[in-house]
Amino acid sequence: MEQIATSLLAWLPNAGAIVVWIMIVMIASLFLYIRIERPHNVSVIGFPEAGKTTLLDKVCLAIYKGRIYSVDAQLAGRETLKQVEAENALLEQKIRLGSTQDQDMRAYRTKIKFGSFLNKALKTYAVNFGDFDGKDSKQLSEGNVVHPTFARWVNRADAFIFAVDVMGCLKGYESKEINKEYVRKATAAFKSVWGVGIKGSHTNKSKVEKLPVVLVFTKSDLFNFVDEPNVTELVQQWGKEEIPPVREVDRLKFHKGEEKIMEEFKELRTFFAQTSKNYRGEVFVSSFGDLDGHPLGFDELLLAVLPK
Amino acid sequence: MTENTRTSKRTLAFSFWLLITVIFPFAPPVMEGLIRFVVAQLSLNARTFNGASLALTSGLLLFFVSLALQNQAYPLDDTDERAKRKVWYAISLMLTFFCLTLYICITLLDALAEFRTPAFAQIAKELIEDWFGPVAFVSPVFVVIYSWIMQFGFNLEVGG
Repeated sequence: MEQIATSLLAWLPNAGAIVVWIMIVMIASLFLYIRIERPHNVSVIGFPEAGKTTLLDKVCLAIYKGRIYSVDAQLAGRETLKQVEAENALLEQKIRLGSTQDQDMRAYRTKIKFGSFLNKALKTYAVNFGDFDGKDSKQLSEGNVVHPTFARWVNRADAFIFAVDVMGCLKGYESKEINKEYVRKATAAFKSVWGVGIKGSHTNKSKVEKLPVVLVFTKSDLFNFVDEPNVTELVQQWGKEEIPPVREVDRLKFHKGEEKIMEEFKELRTFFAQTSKNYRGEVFVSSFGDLDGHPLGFDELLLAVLPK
Repeated sequence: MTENTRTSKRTLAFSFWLLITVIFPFAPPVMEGLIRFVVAQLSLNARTFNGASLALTSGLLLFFVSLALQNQAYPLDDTDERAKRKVWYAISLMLTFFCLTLYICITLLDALAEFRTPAFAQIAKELIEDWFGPVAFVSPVFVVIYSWIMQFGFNLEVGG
């Protein structure tokens, strides 16, 4: 021991130089650590016409316009900005966005900082939302071969959004009953997607169980029509064929609708809670309706997909 | 899902990354240093660890990082992402050249110290011990941290 200590002392002048270099290295590393964005890829699973593209586009537009309050978010990259501007121009002209085809698949890229002051200072997340054709989700639920890009994205995803279309649930609501057939189909399909398509075939099962999973109900502004005598006709009109005008969602009707949907989707919610160790719950969103002047569900959605 | 996802390479666990990126490449120079340490009756000096080996290993690791940055395929890639990766690829290559230059300098000075006049040998030894040695000794620390940051920043596949 004594010998080692003596040799260390003899080497001290060099050790001083090394300490200085180590400090330089640490400062450079800290700079790099702050500078590099952590990729966080979000996979959006939902059937055709569920409003996935419109939702992602509107979330990005809310980020662009500074209408997101819970996190520091901004759009990343010129391509996302161009895409959002182009899609928003269509929506402003009341032209609905068509189905995403395989050739249209893209990522909506954002940069997000959140949490404590230290967390915000040190970490920036590059949150990328993958937008795919809803047919891929459908095929995944049926156990068929899906587009390889979709498969790779799902396999590498860091969070999952399962999008359920409220319009489907409200068809036939004249009888004050949620469309049970739609609920049954959606429940079975998402159980299959998560249980077999994603968890079952994932290369790292213990990792995928810990990834955030969110159940999102899109087109929640349609709850505004639940007391109308011709609900089916109205939700069909505003949920699928036409662009609804931006409006304030009726709080009372929204909560009533929310309660019913939560009750009907109890089986799916329980399934996610049991099979995922990081189930973040349910979020009701609307691409066109505001609640108390804020975009409905966007803040909650972003918080739900982010890592803890 | 599909056959191609089942066989696709995955982002590797930290322990595996540590094994492939740190333990395997740095094992030879560290073992060399330990052998010298034992042979020199447990005395530590500036030449215990071979600066040239450490610089070369660091350079090779950086080269692998730059290869991974260049070659890895990402789903839903776009021009912005590709541009970002190109910048870090260039930085990684520059650091690779820096480490390789360090390796060449130390080896050259070592050789000159061995074969030239005693006065020249003294200067060469001092240069190695006071300047190039400490840099080579510390560079692996930075290189390992750098490769780890690149690893999680770009979800790189180990070994490119």
